[in-house]
Amino acid sequence: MLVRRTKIEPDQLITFQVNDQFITARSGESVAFAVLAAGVMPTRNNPVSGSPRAPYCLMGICFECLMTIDGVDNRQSCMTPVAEGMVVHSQYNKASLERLDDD
Amino acid sequence: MTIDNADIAIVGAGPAGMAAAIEAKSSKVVVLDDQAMPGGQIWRSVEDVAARNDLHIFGKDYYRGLRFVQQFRASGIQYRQRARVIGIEDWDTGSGSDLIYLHDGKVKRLSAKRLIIATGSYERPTPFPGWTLPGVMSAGAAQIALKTTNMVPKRPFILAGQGPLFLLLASQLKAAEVPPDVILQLDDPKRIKQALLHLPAALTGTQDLLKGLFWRLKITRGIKTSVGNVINIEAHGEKQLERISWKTQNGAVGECSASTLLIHDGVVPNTQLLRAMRAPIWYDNKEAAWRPSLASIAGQMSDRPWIYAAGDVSGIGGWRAAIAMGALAGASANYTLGNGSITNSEEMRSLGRGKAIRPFLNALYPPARAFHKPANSTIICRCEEISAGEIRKAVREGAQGPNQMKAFLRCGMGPCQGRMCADKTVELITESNGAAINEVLPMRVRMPISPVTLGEMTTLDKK
Ligand SMILES: Cc1cc2nc3c(=O)[nH]c(=O)nc-3n(C[C@H](O)[C@H](O)[C@H](O)COP(=O)(O)OP(=O)(O)OC[C@H]3O[C@@H](n4cnc5c(N)ncnc54)[C@H](O)[C@@H]3O)c2cc1C
Ligand code: FES
Repeated sequence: MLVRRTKIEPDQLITFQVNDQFITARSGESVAFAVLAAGVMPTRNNPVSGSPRAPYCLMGICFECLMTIDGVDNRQSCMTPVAEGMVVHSQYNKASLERLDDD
Repeated sequence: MTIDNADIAIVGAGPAGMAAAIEAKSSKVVVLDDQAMPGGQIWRSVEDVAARNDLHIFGKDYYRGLRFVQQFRASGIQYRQRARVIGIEDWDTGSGSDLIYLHDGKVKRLSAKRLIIATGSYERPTPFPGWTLPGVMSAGAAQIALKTTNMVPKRPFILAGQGPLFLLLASQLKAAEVPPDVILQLDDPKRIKQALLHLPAALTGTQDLLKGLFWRLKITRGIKTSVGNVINIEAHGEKQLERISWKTQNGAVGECSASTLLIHDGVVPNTQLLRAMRAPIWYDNKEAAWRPSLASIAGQMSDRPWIYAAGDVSGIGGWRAAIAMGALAGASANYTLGNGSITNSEEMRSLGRGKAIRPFLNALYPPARAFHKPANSTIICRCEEISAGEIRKAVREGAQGPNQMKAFLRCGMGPCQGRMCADKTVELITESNGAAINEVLPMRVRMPISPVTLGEMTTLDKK
């Protein structure tokens, strides 16, 4: 879990929606950071077991931060910059993850 | 859409990628990087951090990056940020490749005569009981949060790990006035005996050695609880992390409540793109990691001489070595296109100096005991929730490699495509069947190496 070291500067302040709450973010930061700082937990459930998950690496490696962003499933929230008015949803109990077939 | 062309395409704008670009700028160079700013892992967000006057938190090496990033920006090289390379297609002529990348919500193609892959490293995955709980994060994640958006871990928080980056992060968190509540040191103090054998060589890299020693001596200063020689760690909680417990080599046990646990066990080359293009990779027992097989000091791939691997992706060497390798790859690529000459004796020397400390570090910090031989119930593949016990059972039933393991268990077939489990799976296979790691074929990776939506895919021009 993360907390902000300093307040968001007024000219950097953005508001967007996560599930049914509105949260603030700093312009330019990725969705995952704002979501962690707002304490939204979990950000998804593992589609196989349903166990709770949240962003883990924040650098695009682990894919634990997948969320539904502006209607598109399975977006890496740690790599997606926030935008004013964005609508983000946690992915709960969803087995909709596109699974890969081996070659 | 017209196809975009370059003489030299570079993947990654870290020290290696930037150095390659600067060196090769008399050719048409295009740099693609998935971050918002140039800098790579070490110099992530350095321009932003300078603007908010926080450079002092990250130390002298970070400060240096600002000048390097400014030099890169001023060089006029085409640089595309938030551009993630998801695949490579070699030309039929065998003298160049197309990069397929995701940028601005579209899948695009960049055609280049030379490719320099400088994708760096990521943290070695650390399977232990409870590591999938929200609240457990890699230590690098905390450093990224501090650099990019000035966030710090929520208290109470514990930093557990070993190695140079672990020591560095401890000192950076203290400089940011958020010292960890508890530090757990996962290194084996007995390893110093083996490491000392490599001390003479390490002395050529004195600056790194002294810096590391300084961090090591200071690690416990200002920390309420610091425990050494930890061999076992567990995270507990219902919906999120609530508590952690540990055990030391001497049998002492401890526990504490926790909101955040940061964990670190060194870094390994980020070979995902290389694996997807079926480039030959080999297991380096000394580094305990897979590396690409290269044909020259400039980093040419052994099977495709127009493709180079430079920096940490070619084997962990740190930023000094990454700059030197990047420059050598850039010079060589440029030269083979008939542009410029190769006059890099200084880079050769600094490559040697940069890498001098590695054998010492490899001997001092082999993969931590806490993640070795995980218990049967420990999750290895986070995406498909596959435990060490299931993998061991599949080996007994005949899965002799990670690719068969996919058929048995779907291990490595989730969205991360094995980044978090591939190496541990191979390790468990060899533990169960007695083979050497190099005898097991590494896990195959398919393109695209990051998921793309159908909508994005339709924007790609076929050749
Ligand atoms: C989390 C983390 C933090 C680190 N912090 C430090 C530190 O503070 N100090 C230190 O001395 N060393 C640090 N290191 C080690 C450090 O990575 C090296 O010293 C140095 O950054 C290596 O330089 P490089 O150019 O080889 O790779 P990197 O600096 O890692 O640069 C690689 C770049 O490629 C990008 N990339 C990767 N794959 C793709 C793709 N498919 N498409 C597009 N772009 C891609 C990455 O986002 C990154 O920007 C860190 C390593 C990690 C993993
Ligand atoms: S948090 Fe790991 S990929 Fe986003």
